[in-house]
Parts: sequence; C-alpha cells; structure tokens
Amino acid sequence: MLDPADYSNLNDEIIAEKSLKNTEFFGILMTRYKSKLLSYILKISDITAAEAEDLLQDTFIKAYLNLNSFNPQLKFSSWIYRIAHNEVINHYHKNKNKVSLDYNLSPEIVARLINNYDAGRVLDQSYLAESIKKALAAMDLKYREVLILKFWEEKDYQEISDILKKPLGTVSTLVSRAKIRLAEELKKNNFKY
Amino acid sequence: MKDLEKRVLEKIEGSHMRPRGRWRFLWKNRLFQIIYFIAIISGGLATSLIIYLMVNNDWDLYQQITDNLFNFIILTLPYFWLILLLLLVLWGYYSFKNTDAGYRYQPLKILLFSLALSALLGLIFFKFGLTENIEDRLAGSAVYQNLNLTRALAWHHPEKGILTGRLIKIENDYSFILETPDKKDWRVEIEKTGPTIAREHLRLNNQLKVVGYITGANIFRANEIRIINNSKKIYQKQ
Repeated sequence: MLDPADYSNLNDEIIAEKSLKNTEFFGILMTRYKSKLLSYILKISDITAAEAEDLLQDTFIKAYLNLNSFNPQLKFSSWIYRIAHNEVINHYHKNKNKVSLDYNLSPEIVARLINNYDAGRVLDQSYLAESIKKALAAMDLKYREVLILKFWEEKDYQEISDILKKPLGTVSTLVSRAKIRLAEELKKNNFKY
Repeated sequence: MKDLEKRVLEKIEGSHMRPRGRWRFLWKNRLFQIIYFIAIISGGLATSLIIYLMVNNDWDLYQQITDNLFNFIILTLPYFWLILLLLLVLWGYYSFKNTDAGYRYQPLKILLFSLALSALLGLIFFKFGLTENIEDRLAGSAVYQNLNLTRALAWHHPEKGILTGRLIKIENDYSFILETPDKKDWRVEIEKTGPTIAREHLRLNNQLKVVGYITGANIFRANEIRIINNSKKIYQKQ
C-alpha cells in the first residue's frame, strides 16, 4: 500500500482523480477519512461500533464505485460525507432499533454549542454534557444531523447543503430550529441557561 | 484500523470492482435537464393556449348568458390547459430537482421560475401566432372537445340566444345540423335572402357558436355564427 505521508501535499480532489487509475490512492483517501466518518456515523445513528464499521466499509465501497460522479466543484469531503449520510439513512430505514448514542462532548464542543445560547453561566460541565447527550438522543434525525455537522464536524452551511443536498436557506432554517429544539430538550431535563 | 483500508481494497480487487463510467452520471444529469426543457416548452404551449382562449372568449357576448362577469370567467376558464400547465410545471420541478445542482434551490423558487419561464414562452408563442394553428388542429378532435365540455356547456344557452355545438351535417347553403354539448341535434338556419356561409368555414366537426333565437323544437335561426374559441365571425345577418 502507498504511504499516505508521501502524498500529504496532494489535496483530496487530486487523490480522488488518481484513484480512478490506481486503487491504492483510494487507500490514502480512506486513511484520511476513516476516523472522521466513523465518528460522524456513530453520532447521527443509533447503531453499535461494529455496525458503524460495516457501514463505513459500505460507504467506502460505494464511494469507490461512484468516483466518476464526484463533481470537482464540490469539496471531496462534502461528497464523501454525503455518501456516508445516505448509507446511514438507508440503514436507519431498514433497522429502526434504538441503541444509546455516543457523543464526544469535549469542553470545546460544549462551549461551541452553548455559545449559541444566551447562557451567561455554565456551571457544571459534566452535568451539561450529560444533558446535551440526552437532548440530542431525543431529537429528530434531521435536527441532530445538522447540529452534528455544524458543531462536531465544523462544516460551514455550504458544506452542509452539499452533504445533505438541501438548499442553503433550508439548512439555515434547520440549524435554527435544531438549536431551538435542543434548548427545549435541555429545559425538559431541567437544565436552565 | 489499517485493516479497514486493506479489507476494502481486497474486496474491490477480489470482486473486480471498477468505478462506474463517467458517462453514466453525465447522461443522468443531461436526461433530467432535457426533460426539464421539454416540460417548460410544453408549459409554454399550454400557457399560450390559455392566453389565446381567454383573449378569444367572446367577451362581447357574455351578458347574454350571465350578468356576473366573475361567474362568466369562472365558467369559461380553460381548466384543461390550466391543469395541464400545473402538471407540466410540477414535472419540470421534479426533473430540475434531480439534476446535479437542483438541490441548491428552494422548491418555491424552482416552481415560480418554471412558471415564469413557461408564461414568457407562452406569450412569445401566442404573439407569433403558433397557438391558433394548434387550436385549429385540436378543435376537430372529439377527445379535445370532450375535455373542453364545461366551456362549451357554459356557452350553450339556446333559450338565451346562444347555441354551441359540433357541425355534423351540412344540409344545404342555408342550414346545417349541430350536435350540442348535451348530445342533442339542432338545425341551424340562416336567412335565405342574405349571404351564405363560405364553404371553407363549414367543415364537419368544426365547433361553432351561433347567436340567434329558437324558432321551433330544436331549430335555431342564426343572426351570427362564430368559430368557437376563435371569435372569428363566419356569418353575420344583414
């Protein structure tokens, strides 16, 4: 296999182009995206880590088969996130099991979320993190996924639009509504802010 | 997790997978663009017919059948073309949404844009006289006549001096038979002392509108005869 470090100066779009002729370049893309995509899949879906790995594998295979559909006007990351998102949606429709969701709620991510509210005082970080986890688990997928993309994956609105294949205005509305829903869920869990 | 890369690459090689051809994705996008184009052009034709039918709606006669202008408009709207236009715009919307960039636009904007484009094309087609040709070709079709039955029925009030129907028989230079929308046969007569109707205007299956009065059981004396949906007078009593 090619060493990803040897090609660190090449952007994803060029590596994707090279992958069409040499599958080993596709391995470099997988190395670059496997952790991010696995983390993303686990956050928006209610599946086990093992199932998430299977989904990730399916995502990469689908990405490889559809490499020629990649439009260079998009970012490669938006394109592959879109494939992962679609795989999760397909899986969700087939298996509507509820398993607990796992979120990495680092202080930075909590701060990013809370900065969007008028929360002048955030006292107990661990209590807050737990409340956010419960709140996210209770939310509809369409709201949860935009929050995940915005605050965990740090995607801008255009990228979210390209990933979810929704107009920019709709993404903006979804994010606003998602924040309101999150606030409502937090209130239900007696978190005052 | 280096295993993951290895597993995926082994699966790709083992199953002899290759990326699907670019043409496949280009063609899908192009096909939806073509369908959108067809939907908009067709919408333009439908719009031009709506404009044509409303312009040639015999507005000078409406008070013979109703006092209420609003009611008259509601009765004589070309519903078939309006519904067709709506379906075409929706079809165009669906096709546009399925193009590569379609997701970037709000549904309402796509619908309004498609409608506006069809309306503009409709005006152009109408202005260049394309619509009259289409209406003429369709007028003789029984299917089209059935689709426009409500409009024909709206006008058909022999008791108020307006008779509409399909020309089914020419008896002589001064009388012919119309099959009216309620499936009755009426004889239409014109003055024997006056001009006759030019034969090129009297083609079987023509839809006619006759202004006049009842003279007997299913017999109507014409003061004026027009081609329906056209307002063209083919006979005027002297």
